[in-house]
Amino acid sequence: MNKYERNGKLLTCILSGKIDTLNTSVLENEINENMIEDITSVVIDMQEVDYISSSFLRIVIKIVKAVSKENFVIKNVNPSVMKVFKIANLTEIINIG
Amino acid sequence: MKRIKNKRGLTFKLIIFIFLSVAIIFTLIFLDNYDISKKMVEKNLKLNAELITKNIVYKAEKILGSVQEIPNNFSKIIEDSSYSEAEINRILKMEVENNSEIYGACIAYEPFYFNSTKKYYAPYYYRNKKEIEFKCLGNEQYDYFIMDWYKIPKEINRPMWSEPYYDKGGGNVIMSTYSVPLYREKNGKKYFIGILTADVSLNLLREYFESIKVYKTGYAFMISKKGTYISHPIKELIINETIFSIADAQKSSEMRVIGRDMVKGESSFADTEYYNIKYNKLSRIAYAPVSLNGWSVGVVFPVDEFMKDVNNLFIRVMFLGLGGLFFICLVIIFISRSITSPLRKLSIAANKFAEGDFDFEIPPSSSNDEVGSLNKSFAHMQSALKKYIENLRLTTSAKEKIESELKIAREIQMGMIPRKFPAFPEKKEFDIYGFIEPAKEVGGDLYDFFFIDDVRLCFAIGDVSGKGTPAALFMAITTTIMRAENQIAGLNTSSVINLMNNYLCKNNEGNLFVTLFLGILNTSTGEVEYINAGHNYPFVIKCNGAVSELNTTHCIPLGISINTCSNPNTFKLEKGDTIFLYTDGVSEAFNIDDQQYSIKKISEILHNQANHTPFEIIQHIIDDVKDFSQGTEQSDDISVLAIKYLGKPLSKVPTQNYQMVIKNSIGNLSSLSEKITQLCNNWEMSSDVLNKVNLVVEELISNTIFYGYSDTFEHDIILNLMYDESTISIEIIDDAKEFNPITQKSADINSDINERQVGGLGIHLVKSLSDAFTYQREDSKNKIKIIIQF
Repeated sequence: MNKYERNGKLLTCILSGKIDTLNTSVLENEINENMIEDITSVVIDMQEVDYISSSFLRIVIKIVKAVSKENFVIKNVNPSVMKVFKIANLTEIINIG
Repeated sequence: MKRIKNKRGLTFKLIIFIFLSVAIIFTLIFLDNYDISKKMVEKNLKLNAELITKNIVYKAEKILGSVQEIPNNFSKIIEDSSYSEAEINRILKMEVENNSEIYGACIAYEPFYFNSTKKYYAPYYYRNKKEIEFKCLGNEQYDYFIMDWYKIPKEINRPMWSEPYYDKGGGNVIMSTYSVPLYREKNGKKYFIGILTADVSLNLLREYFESIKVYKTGYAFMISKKGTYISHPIKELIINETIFSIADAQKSSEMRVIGRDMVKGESSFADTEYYNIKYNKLSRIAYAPVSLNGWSVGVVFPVDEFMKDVNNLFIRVMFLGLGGLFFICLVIIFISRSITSPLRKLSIAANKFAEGDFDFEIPPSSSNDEVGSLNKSFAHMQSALKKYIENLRLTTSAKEKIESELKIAREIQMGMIPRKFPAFPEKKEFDIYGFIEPAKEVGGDLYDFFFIDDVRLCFAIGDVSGKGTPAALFMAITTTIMRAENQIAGLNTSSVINLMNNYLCKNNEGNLFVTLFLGILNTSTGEVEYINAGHNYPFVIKCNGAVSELNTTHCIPLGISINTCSNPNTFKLEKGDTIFLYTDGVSEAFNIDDQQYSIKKISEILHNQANHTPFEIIQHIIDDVKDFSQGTEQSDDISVLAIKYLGKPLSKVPTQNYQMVIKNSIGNLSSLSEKITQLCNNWEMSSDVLNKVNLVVEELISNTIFYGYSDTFEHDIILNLMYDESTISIEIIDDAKEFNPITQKSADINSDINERQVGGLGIHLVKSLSDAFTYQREDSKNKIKIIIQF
């Protein structure tokens, strides 16, 4: 289960499991719901995520466009997931660790 | 500068040194000689000058003396007898007439002596041209009693010469008057009665002085007691000037000093030099007094003239000296030429030799001196060198031939040893690597491995005693018979060893021997049977890192004596175990301090090599040995062989196919993913590969489901997964509209995040993850095939 923590203007998304095409739309809805208030910074914790597809990358790009890359962090990325970010050349642009 | 100096030849040096030395010696001699001759000349000159001067004085005195004698004689006559006036006049006249040098003669009496009525009585005969005339001197105007010529002799009671004077209007001659006092005895008492005079023309004296030649321009002169010139080549000076007035005019202090000494009546050859009046030449003067009247004679010697001889001598000697030096130069040039010209020729010859032209003819030398002997030595050297070079050439070519043969031999020897790795790419049960480095071109080390049947690998390492060609030949025999004996089916290692030993013993003319470790690995089970014939104990590296030695020897090295080996030992290699074999070239490698690498060091290195491949282990050992020996020449052949047992691979069907068919609903993706995960787990695939497969399948099929169909009907999408040893092939076949993902423009992944398009990323991921990607449109179907390697 994904968890969302709001702390003033900061939204932390703690994601888990596989993020594939099928559950991306659910995830997207969840994030949109949590970003309705005056959220200006987003942190995504991917400790529990072992698989992502390109649909998740689309979500990431959307969020970055919304809050700007300075206010966006992805953390705790495991190596196989990091590989996908790397292929998409997102590691160079956004703050991923 | 220095180069120019060095370039100067022997001739130049000889000339400089000899010429300089001779010139210095010559100059010293010359200067000394000049000094001596100058002194001699001066001494002679002084004697000569004194002689000349004395001679002139003597002559002058003679002239004056002869003149002075006449009035002296007359005075006696007049004193002794009483002559009449007429008689006295006759005597006077006679005196003038008979003596050409006497210009006039007079007797001047004391007042009233001759005639009591006459105060003045002085009859005077004198020459007027040729006639002799008479007059009586003395009157009120001419009061001769107070005249010097009268008064002074009267006072001093003896004859005297007056200062010379010029008789103007008279005879126009220079005269001097000689006055003789006259006395008469009366009553036994002498009393003065008058003066007898003789005016003397000094012409004779002057003519005599003019006739005197001293060198070329030298001359004689005479001065009176007061320094007045009586005779001088410059006539104007006579009477008119004194030596002192001239000295004043010339501002010549030397001349004044000389004049003073002359007036004093001294005689000398003055050391001082002065400029003579006549020619204004630097001169020296000799002088002496005329004792009769206190006049003085001077003789002028021009310095340049009396020094002429000395100077001539000087010039003569100088020319002779220069001529001599020039001659010495010529002689030096001739001698040095005769030395250097053959030397130059030798130098050319030496250069030719240096260029390798030993046929260059050395110019013959006829001389028997050192140069000639050098020439002969050189010729000898030429022939000796020629001979030597020829020998060297022959030796070198022979050596080259041997070397090239050795090189070929090395290639042949290396060809006998399997050195192509991986040696058995199709065998997954083990990994093997070997390394050999002979100390010389060829060596006596050997290693070998080959299959004797489908599963049994025979491997061996050996070391022939000695090194080089003999060892290499023995090694070749060993390798060959080892292979041959192993082909006999059913033999164990000890039988093979015994057969080999028999053969090697029988045919061992060189008394060589070989240590050998022979093993047979059963690649299915990992069991190893081995025989060690005196070889270093191999190491076994267990997969857990433990290192141990196979410390059993079964027999002495092969080729020594016919004996029988004990039964082989066996042990089992587990999966991941490695057996490491080496020759003593490794353990006995020396460093510059003469220390050995040692077996202990090998074992230390092997301790942490359990996870490495044979290649890595051997590389590590060889690098370490090279570091240790620090460039010290390799003393022994080095061989290493390592086999890692990997175990029998899991028996799996080489290729497996799996086909799935799903409907074009996005919801089916999750069951598809589960199925793929299950399959991959069955195939023991890593999660990395699994994620790759899942991602590729998901991206492609979701793409088809989302964008492939324009209708709402159900469609089948077929997924074929094919698995083999190293790859997974993914094939997706659908009847959606034509879509070629390869030609599809990929997402721009390099643009800024704000310009990023969200589409196209899926295809980009697929392309990046797959190792091969093909697309075909066939029977109105899209066929995508992707290969992923692992």
